[in-house]
Amino acid sequence: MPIKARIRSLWRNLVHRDQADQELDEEVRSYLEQLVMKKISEGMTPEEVQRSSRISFGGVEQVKEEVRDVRAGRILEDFARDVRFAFRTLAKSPGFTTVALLTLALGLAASTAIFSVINGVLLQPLDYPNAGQLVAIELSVPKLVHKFPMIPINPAAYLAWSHQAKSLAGIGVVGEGVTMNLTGGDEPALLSADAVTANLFDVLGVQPQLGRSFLPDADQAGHNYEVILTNGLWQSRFQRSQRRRTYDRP
Amino acid sequence: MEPKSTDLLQGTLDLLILKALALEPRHGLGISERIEQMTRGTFRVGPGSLFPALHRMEERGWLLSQWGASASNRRAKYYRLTAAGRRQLKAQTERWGRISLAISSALETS
Repeated sequence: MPIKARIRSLWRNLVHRDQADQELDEEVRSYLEQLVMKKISEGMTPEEVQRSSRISFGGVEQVKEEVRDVRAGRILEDFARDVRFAFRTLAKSPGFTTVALLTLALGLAASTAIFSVINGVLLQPLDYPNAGQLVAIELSVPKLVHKFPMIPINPAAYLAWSHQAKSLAGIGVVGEGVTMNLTGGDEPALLSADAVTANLFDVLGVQPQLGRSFLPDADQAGHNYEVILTNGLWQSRFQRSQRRRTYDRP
Repeated sequence: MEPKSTDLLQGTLDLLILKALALEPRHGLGISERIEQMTRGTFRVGPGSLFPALHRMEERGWLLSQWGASASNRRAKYYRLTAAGRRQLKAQTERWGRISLAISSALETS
């Protein structure tokens, strides 16, 4: 069926439904009148004509209904009517409707919340350049996997990987968290920090917003005295005064 | 799958309507009169079948309708064939010929 004709019909049937209905009514009645006139001219009496045309006609409304059945947009019309009927029925039992709506709302809210978390944590890519090329390497002992899924990376393994891995541009290590004291200035504070290899930010492909990243030998013994602050710490403690601070391991 | 009897009838009615409009536009009553005349009284189409068929064929793009004045100066909806309608008439006539030939030869074999 040609699409343009179909769309035109759909448009006429749905939007100009009243006009189309009226036209149909007029068409069918005109047919009836002409049929009556023809029968009269053929010599039937008016009563005979009335009786036969009603029988052979089956009612104007019925004919119109038959036409409506085949019309494009019938399915949409029926659907719209069913929707309105559903609304009326629900309005008649407000208690049930309220409970149903609350259940739906609760379900929707829960699903949305769960999905938001999963989306943010699992599905969205990390905010690093070429995040698709970042991999996490874990070490585990097959026999102990049930009790200890991972074991900490030991330095020997790290060095071996760094030298031998051909497919990795670089390996950065994030150590266990440590706590540090912040002194000098406002009241002392306890901070949490991660000890990392000097190349971590190079591997991740990011640079600090202020200042520079670690020098290549910053993680060697005797040189490991530099820290990089998070944005939050910088804003809360340092931004106003740009004084130096000292950090001590307890 | 066997075609339903309504499908068969519908196809035949469509063909008759197309043929009835081949020469000139007609309104509903004119079409049913012409069909009765062409089939020598064998087929008398009632409005319950005629109008759904006309509207269906119009939506398919085979017919175009236009309001006009009838012979008795009444307002009536006239239908005429479109180019697509003429193509349909030709195609369905050929198809009908093939079908009736096949059935005739089938009925002749003993």
